[in-house]
Amino acid sequence: MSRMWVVARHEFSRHVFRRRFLFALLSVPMMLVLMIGLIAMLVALDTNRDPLGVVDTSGQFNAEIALSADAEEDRVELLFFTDEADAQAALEAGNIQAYYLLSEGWAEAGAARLVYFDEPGENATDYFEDLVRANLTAPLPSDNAQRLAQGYTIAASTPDGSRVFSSERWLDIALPILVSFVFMYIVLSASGYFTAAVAEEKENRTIEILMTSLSTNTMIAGKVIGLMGVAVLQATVWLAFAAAAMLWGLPILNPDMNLNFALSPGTIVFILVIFVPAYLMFAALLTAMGAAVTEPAEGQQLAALVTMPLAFSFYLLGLMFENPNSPVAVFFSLFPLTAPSLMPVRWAFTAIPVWQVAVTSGLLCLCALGALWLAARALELGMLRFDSKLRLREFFRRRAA
Amino acid sequence: MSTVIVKNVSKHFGAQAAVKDVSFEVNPGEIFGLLGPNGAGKTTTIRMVLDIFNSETGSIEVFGGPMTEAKKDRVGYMPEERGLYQDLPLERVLHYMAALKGLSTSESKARTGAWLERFDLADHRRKKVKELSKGMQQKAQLIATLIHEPELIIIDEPFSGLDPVNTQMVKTILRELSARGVTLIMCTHQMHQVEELCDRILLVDKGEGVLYGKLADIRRRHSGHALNVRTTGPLPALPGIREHKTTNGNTTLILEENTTPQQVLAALVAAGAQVEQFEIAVPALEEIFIQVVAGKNHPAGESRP
Repeated sequence: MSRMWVVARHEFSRHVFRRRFLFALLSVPMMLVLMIGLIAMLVALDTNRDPLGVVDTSGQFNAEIALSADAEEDRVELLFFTDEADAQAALEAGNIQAYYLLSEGWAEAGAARLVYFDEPGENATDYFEDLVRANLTAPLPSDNAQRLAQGYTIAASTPDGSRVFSSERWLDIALPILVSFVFMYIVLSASGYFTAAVAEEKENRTIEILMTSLSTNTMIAGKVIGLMGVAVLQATVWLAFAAAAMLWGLPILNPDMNLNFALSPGTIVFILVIFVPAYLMFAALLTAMGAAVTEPAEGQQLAALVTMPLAFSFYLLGLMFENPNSPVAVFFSLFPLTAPSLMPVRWAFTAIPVWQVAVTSGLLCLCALGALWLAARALELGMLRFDSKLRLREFFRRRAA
Repeated sequence: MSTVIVKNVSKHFGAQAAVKDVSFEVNPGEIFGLLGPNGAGKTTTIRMVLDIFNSETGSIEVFGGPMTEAKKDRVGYMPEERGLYQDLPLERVLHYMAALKGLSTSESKARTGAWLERFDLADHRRKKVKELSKGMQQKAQLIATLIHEPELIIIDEPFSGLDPVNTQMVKTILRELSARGVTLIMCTHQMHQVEELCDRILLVDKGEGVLYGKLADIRRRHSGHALNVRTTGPLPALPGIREHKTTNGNTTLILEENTTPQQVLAALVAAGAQVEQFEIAVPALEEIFIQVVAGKNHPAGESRP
C-alpha cells in the first residue's frame, strides 16, 4: 500500500472511530427518525375510524362508487340517515364522529355541510371527499375522470430541451440543494478536523518522525484523502437516511404522495464536478492553516477566513431564489469560496449555461491544486516551527539551498 | 564506504548561525556520539542529515549519496522531543509507524509483538500512549525507531526517563545492533553512556565542531602529565614529581615537565616498591566536555573537524 494511502487510512480511522464522531454521525439520522416518529404519532392521533353519518336529501350520492387503493386506506363506515334530526341524535349519542348534509343540487352548487362536536379524523373527511370527487366525475369518460383525479403537472423546458423542470423531476432540484447543505454543514462542523490534522502532530511532536518517513506532499495528500473519506462517509450516511426517510417516512405523513426518484445524469455530473474539487479545496486550505500555526486552537480561529464566505452565502440565498441570473448571483456562484453553496441553488431555479458550470468547476480545480500546494508548503515551512506561526510572505519565498 | 559523510555544512536561522562548517563521518557498525551543550547545533545537524532541513553549504551523503525517500526506510530516528499519538492505543501507533516505513501488516504485527515483549510492554499494548509512564513512552518510542530494522539509527537522548534496568537493556540492544552492522548516531548529555558505548565522537559547541575522533585518542590527548599509582606499602620518594594527590588509597602523581612515566616506573622499581597499579591518568569525558565547552582547554594540535 502506498504511503499516501497509509496516511489516508490512518487519518480516516483516527476520526471515524472516535466516540464523538460516531455521535455526530448518528445524531442527524436519529433526529430525522425522531421527527418522523413524532409526525407519525400526530397523524395516528388524527385518524378516527368511527362511522361517518350522511344525510343525502338529493338521492344523488353513490357510496358504492369505486375508489383507488390509496383512497380505500382511509375508509370509514358510512351510516345513512333520512333526515338531519336522526343524524343529530346519532352524533349526540356518540354513534358517529360527524355527519355530512348533502342538500338538493349539492353537486351543481359544489356545497355540502359538515356537522360535528369534535373535529372528525382527517382520514374520514379525506375518504368522504374522495367519494364526492368520484361522484362528480362519474358522468365523464373514464380517461377524463382519471386526468381530473390526477390533477395538473407543469413542465418547463429550456429551448434546447437540455433541462426540464417539473414536479416529477423534483430530485433534480432538491438533490443539489440537499448536497449543498450537507456540504456546508460538513465543512463548517469538520473544519476543526482539518486544522487539527497537522497542528496536533506539531503539538505532540510526531511531525518530526513522520517527516523522516514521508514527503510533505505525500503526507498532505494522504491527510486530505483520509478526511475526504470521513466527509464522504458522513454525507453518505446522512443522505441515505434522508432517502430512507423519503421512501418510508413520507408515505406515513402523506399516503397519497407518489414520489418519483428519477434523476437526470446532468445533475449527477453537476454534483461531481462542483463538490469534489470544492471539498478538496476547503480541506487543503484548512489543513494549510493548521500547518501554519503552532496550536490547534489558533488554527480554528484562522479557519474562519475560509469558512466565513461559505456561511455568508446563506445571506445570498434570497437573491438566488428571486433572481438567479443577476450579475451578483452569477459572480458569487462562480467565486470558489461561495460556489459550492450557491451554484446548486441557481441550478434548482434556472438553467445555468454550461460554460458557467465549466468555469466554476475549473476554478475550483485550480484552487484545489493551489490549496494542496499551499498546504504542503505550510507543512514544509512550519513543521518544526513550534513557537511562531508562519507569515503569508514566507510561503512565496524562494526555497533555501 | 562511510554510512554518513557530512562535509562543511552550515545552517542559519535568520541572522543566527546554528551550524558552522561542520564535518564528520560515521562508519558502518559503529556507535558514534554527537555531543554538545544545549543549543550547540546537534539537532540541526541531525535534521540536515535526515533532509528535514537543507544545508546552506557543503554536502551530506547517506549510504553513498544524497538522502532520498527510499533511503528514509533504511533510517530510524528518535528525536529528543518524543512524538507519539497520545490519544491512540500503543499497538495501533506502532503499526502505523511500521506501515509508514513500508512494513506489511503481518510483518508489523510480528515485530511489534516481539518488541513489546522484549520491552515488557505487552500488557500495555491496548493502553493509550498518554496512559503510559514516561519510561514506558520512551521504550515505545524506541520500538517505533527500531521496528523496521533500520541500517542507520539516529537517537537523541535514548536513556532519558529510563530506570537502571531498562537503561541496561537499551544498552544491550544498541550493542547488539552495532554488532549486527547497524550504524548508530547517538546524541546525549550522559557522558558516562558515551564512554561506555561510543567508538568515536564529535563535540559541537556554538555550531562548530570542536572535538572529533576516536574516544580513546581524545582522552589521551587531554590527559594531563599525570599517573595513577597504587603500591602495597607507602609510596617512596620519587624524583621529577611536582605534586601528588591521594584519594581512597589511590595516588595521582603530577609529573614535572621533563619527567616521563618510564622514569617514574624505573624509580619505583629501583626503590623496591610493590606496584599494584600504574597507569597514565586520563580525564573522564565529562571533564573534557566541560573544559572544551568552557573554553579552558584547547590544546595545541587539537583535531578540529
